Amino acid sequence: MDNKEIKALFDKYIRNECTDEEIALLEKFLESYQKKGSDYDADTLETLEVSKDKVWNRVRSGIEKEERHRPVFPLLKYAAVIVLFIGSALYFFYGTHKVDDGGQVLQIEENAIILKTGDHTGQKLNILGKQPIKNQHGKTIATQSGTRLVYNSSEDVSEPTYNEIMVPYGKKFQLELSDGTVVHLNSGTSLRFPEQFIEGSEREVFLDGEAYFEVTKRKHQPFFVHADDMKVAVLGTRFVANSYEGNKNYTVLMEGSVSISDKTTRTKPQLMIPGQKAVFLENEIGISEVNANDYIRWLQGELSFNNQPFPEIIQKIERKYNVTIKNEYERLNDLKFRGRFNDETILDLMDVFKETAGFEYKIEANEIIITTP
Amino acid sequence: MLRISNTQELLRRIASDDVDAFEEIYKTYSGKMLLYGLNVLKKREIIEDIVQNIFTDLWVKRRDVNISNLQSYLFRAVKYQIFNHLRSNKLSQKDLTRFNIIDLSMNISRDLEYSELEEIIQDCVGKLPDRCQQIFVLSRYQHKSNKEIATALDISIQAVKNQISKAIGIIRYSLQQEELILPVLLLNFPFFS
Repeated sequence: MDNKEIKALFDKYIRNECTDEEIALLEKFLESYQKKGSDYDADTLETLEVSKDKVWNRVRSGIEKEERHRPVFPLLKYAAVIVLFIGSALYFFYGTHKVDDGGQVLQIEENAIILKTGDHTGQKLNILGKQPIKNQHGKTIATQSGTRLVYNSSEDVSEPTYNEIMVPYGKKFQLELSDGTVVHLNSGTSLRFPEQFIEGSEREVFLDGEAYFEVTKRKHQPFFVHADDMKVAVLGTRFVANSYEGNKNYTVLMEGSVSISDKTTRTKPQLMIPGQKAVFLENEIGISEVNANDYIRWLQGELSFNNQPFPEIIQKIERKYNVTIKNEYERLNDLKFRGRFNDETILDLMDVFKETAGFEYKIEANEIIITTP
Repeated sequence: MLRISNTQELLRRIASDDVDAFEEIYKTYSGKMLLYGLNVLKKREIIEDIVQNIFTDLWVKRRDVNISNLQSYLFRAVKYQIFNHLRSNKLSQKDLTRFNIIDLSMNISRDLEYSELEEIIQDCVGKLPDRCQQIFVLSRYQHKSNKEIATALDISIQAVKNQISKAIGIIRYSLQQEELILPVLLLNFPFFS
């Protein structure tokens, strides 16, 4: 059997399509690695204990995070929690800072978060400060402090006035809408939303990029997220997540219930249950089970990829760090990687990555260029 | 060792958010799972991630899963994740050879360490006719494609295929012969010692 045949067999196993003989063969293959008896050296057993503790700490902090994110009365508080991610990127320039790599200097643009209010004037938000946001009539509609903006207007209006927030590469932002719905916006994302939701009519927002939604429950006022050709309707008591990968839009549902439909092909809306991911493929919406937590790691500033193709990883890094990466080592484009990064600087990350992936990189004309080793 | 009733009790407790019960499950199985995966993949970070994901997933699904045998549930998950990893990563030459050796030995009922199996098969390969042996080694140990072998030896691809299946036939047959005499040896063994 050659590489291809064996891979095909693994594939069949994953899809649960193996015959009994094939399963026996695969099992025996795995068993062949196992030592009979327990003749492990002390060193192995000691490092095993280290791994055991390490993994337990990660599992436990993972479930604690889950518990903390879970509202005390989930059924009352949020109608749904979703992550959405949509294609096109935003790019705004504003100042720069430098990362020094002993001679190779990388300048990273420091871009501002921009808020457009009803009269379409844009203002840069100073994320170190605290300030009231006023509309064109001079009335305070929201309060911003740091990277959080809370809308609290309660005027009696009949037409929604739309505002828009644009978060550039390298930044994240948190928004609380007038109904209490919380939206975490990832780098390179914009959201259009009404200053105030109109009593008795649907709640609608428009997304470009990636966001995590905790939607406040309102029985007679459904909540819709429009994102490119994707339309997500928040239905019931529990939650949904939605997002996008590469050029494919997607939604991941964490909690609650949402239905998702394609505005271009007008396919039948698909109902999602928590832990599912809906991907927009050419002619259909593909639903699969995922580990939903993998899709919200960016909320904690973590950059993680779980068996993702190299080009998608590059995009993620570019968004998070606001850098430009060019890959001249084409073979990498066919490979998938798994990994997780926290607070590394961009160059530390590249150094770790190049070791595992086996590439070299250099900095030229303010771009990171990946080259063949 | 945990008894089955005990495990069920632990599962019931985690379904009602008992983290201590969850930790007990983790402590009981995680070491074996890590070791199992480590033996196959040799990469600590990857198997740590796999085990972490499996337990996180178990916690997330704790109210919904219906597990009758926790140990086999967890190990099935490890195996699934290992295949999932192997599927999307490059297999080493060593792994390819191993896979083929295992494939050849599927009809052996004895529980052998891989190293013993490798030796026995090595022996069988050594006894193959020259041409047949050369082609089998190129194919199964050096992982040349049939086409590459055909070109190198200036024969047809069909001839390569024929020699390989001839080799497989001979090896399988001699493995079976070994199986037949083995029980006798085992029976006699105490008298010799």
